[in-house]
Amino acid sequence: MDVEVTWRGNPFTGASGQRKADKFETEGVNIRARKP
Amino acid sequence: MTEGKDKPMPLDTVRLREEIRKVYSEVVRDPKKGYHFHTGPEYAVERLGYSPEALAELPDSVTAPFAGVGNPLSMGLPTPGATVVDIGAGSGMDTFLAAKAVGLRGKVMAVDMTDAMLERGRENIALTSLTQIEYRKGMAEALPVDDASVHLVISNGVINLTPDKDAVFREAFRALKPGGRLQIADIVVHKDIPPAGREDIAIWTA
Repeated sequence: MDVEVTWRGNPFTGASGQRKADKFETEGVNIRARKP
Repeated sequence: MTEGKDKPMPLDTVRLREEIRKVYSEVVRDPKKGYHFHTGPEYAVERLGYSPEALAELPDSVTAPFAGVGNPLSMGLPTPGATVVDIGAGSGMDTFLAAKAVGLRGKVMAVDMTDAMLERGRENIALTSLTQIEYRKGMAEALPVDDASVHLVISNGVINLTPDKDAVFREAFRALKPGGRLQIADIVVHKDIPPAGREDIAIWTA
């Protein structure tokens, strides 16, 4: 099955949860796949 | 056999789901209160690439509680007449955008486990007359959807909150028709969370 990450970003930047997100190197992703 | 003093307690999935329900019920009631994550349409436009014009067409009760982490429909809109499932739909920003794309001949099944979200979602259907949307109570690990019945599965910021991610993907795969698409937005961690942290509900919900 083809899987593709189409976007990466940091949705927590500037939010109060940013510190915890940074601690675990959190990243937002958009992912798409197609069922054969 | 006795458990070691430092051995983490197994994750209490019932309590985890209760905590998640509590947080997101509060988001529906008071979306601008200030949370550890961003909410609302301005965030969606500025950070995640949503169309301001598309969001302006939706009522505030749909867009204000938005708490997604990406933009599943940026990878392609469903075609007119298509059937879509939104896993953990919440107040439904992606649900309602998908509903506009599929039109009255299509269908969007909005699955959520939180009563406050289901109630808000159904009120939003009445507000928008987008009757191709149907809110269904259920969990991501056990979708209330027939086998091979949908063209597109979407989800936004939900799978990271589920205890059994393999089950979520198995369910999405089961629900999809052959050739169907999965378009999800979520968060990933690049640094390993220690075993004790994996069992800590505060880490999951904060």
